Amino acid sequence: MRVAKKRGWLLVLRRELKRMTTRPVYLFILVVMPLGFLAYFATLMPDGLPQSLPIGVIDHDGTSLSRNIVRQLESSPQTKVVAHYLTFSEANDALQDGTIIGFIEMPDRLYADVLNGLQPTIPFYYDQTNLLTGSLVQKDLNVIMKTVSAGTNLSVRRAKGQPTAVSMAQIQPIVAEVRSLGNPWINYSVYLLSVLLPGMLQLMILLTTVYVIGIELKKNSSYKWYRLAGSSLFRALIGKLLPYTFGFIAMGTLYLVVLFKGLHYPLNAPFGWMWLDMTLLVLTAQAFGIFMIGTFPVLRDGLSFSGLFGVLSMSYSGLSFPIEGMPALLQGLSWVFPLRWYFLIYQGVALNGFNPVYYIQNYGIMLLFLCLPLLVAKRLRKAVIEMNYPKK
Amino acid sequence: MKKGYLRTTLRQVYEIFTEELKNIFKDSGVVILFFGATLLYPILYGFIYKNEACRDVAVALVDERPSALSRELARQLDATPELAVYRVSGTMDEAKRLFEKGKVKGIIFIPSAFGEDVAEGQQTQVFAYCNMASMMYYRAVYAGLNLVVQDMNLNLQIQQLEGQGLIQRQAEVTAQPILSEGRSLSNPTGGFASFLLPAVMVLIIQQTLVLGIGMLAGTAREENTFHQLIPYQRKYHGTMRIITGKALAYLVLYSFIALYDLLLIPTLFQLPHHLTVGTILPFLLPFLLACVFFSMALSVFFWNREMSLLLFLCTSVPLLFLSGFSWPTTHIHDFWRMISYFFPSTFGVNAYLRMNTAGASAGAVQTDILALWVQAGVYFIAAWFVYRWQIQQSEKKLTR
Repeated sequence: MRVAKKRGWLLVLRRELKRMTTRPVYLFILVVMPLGFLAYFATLMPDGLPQSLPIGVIDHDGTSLSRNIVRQLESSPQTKVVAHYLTFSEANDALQDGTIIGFIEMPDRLYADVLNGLQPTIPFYYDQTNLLTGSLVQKDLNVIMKTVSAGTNLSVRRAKGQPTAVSMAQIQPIVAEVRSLGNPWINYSVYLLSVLLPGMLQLMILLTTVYVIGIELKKNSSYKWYRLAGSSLFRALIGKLLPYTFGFIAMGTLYLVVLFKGLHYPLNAPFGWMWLDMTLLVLTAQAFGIFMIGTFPVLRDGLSFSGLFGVLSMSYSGLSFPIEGMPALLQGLSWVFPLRWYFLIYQGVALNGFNPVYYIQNYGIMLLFLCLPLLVAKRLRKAVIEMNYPKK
Repeated sequence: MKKGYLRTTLRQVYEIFTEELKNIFKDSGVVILFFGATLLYPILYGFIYKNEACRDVAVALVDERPSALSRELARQLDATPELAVYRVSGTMDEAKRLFEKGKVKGIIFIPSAFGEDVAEGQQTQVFAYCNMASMMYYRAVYAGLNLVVQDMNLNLQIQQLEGQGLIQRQAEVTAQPILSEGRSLSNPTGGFASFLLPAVMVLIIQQTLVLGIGMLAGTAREENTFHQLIPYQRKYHGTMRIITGKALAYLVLYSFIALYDLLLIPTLFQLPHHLTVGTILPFLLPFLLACVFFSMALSVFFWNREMSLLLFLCTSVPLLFLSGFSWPTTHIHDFWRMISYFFPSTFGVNAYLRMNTAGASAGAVQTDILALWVQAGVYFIAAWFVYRWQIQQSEKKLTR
């Protein structure tokens, strides 16, 4: 009897494996979807940053100076002059409908005003509906306009016989150089993928965990499952979830291999540290899944709340918008998201190459999340035995 | 004869319409999706990103040999809205320690030669190192440092030219023969909420419709005898009537929900907004129709109540990126761009952003609007086939 009880988890495992191999939905959520999302995100953005962003030009001046400025705009790889407009409103229309992301308007008498020392102003406009392309165009136009001004300055000095080196030192006494640590190419997909992919995996694990437990409750088969495990919730859960644990850890490892080995994203630490991070993320997601279905023992509610949590995790990782920029009250909430801790380890260890030992406490906090199921064990056991929650 | 037929049809459509409304409100799972998610998600996101930008990003400043000029540089950096400067001792060690602990997001390094170089008329450098954990940090450090250094360069040059005997105005003009002035015509503050929220709200409308209609379809299948989407009943004979009646129910509910998400929320959170109840219609009608019929056609795949949540919820984040709200669609891999044409959100997000954030007219985004009408038509036909097939299936089983 005792032996049979101890081996209950094995019976559950066998039962679960049989389900997994006979119903296509399991293959779908365990293999097809994770691979699909990996393929999607890994190929979505082929360049590191979008190049040749469309801009427009209005040239009221039409002199060698204005044409020279257009040439400079054309030679920048970041932007591409796609259209010339006659009026501001024409260009503005193109900006509004998204044909162009920015434009410059060279005023009438530009060249004449420069020659007469009247210091004319060239206005340029950009569209920040899309913050990424808008900022890139703004930055690029800003740099080019400054270069144009400095170039004119330089040619005046040169005409006076001043050596170029001296002129440059006077025009630009201080050169500012911003170096990005870790992400040397300022690559947009490095950012997104490093967190979005684990985030997607986490979401799928949450939903899967809630589903495989919740479906037992819904189909009134949970008591049978519980008995099979020798009336132990712990063994019942181990036997049930173990195949998914292995499956998702394998998938997570594949994600890391594709990111760091395949796409050569920056990894400034031994691979093992990131693997540990990923493995903990998989386990915490399963723990959260148990917690969710234990708290809401109705399959549909469990899935809804897991979805909410999983999607919110990506905002709360602090990847696109740093946590410290959020209102103080909402900042505290970031503690409860394992993806936040995953991200902190990733950016410290993999991206910036800090000593992993500094991040031991982050790994520790992720381990703590594994205790979450204990909080709902009593409630979940009751639900599993009595099966008294709504099935709809 | 003809008149009587029309009246019967209308009455039946109306019956199916009210029946579906009842189904929706009876089902707490669908209510959570249709009303909970659509009403609360935007508020939650609105609060998370309320501050729009990340200000006063902490940077450590290492000044190897303080001079009057380097102290001025530090003071001006601290005065920018982007940066908050923590001065540390003259070596990089302490700064690195703060950086590794995450106390500062960047380091600004002023080499010992800085003051002397400038005094002697030699070009000199300052360096910034930035934590790339978020693009926001880079933006803040880049913008803050460049702004201050450009300003300082200009003043130094003017001083130098004045030293050569130019009067102030001459010096200014020589230093800057051409001025430039950049202006953002939409989302002027470059705010993050103004950028993310509109796209998210359009997507939420599509996703909740797919999930909710999928859940209703799954339930219908679980509850009727033959596990078909549509229970066999005499009065449900016409496929067209069933589709029209159900679609009307979703359309009526979502008209209110969409007005809340797409008009009220941007006003409430003071995001850029140009649309009004009158001007949103040319976009909203085809978008909602496309979403409703898309969801109805898809609902055949969700063979039980929870399938839509399990299988479709995960697509939310990938679909958001497929809409091009961030990475431009023109730069997306061709294959994925093709895929994106299947989803109403692709055209919906673009049309809504162009119209509401950038202020374009409906005429300016007619390609998107046309695409939405085409989707509405195609998915209507698809829904018709799917429903007819399901009706035939249940008839077959009944007669067997």
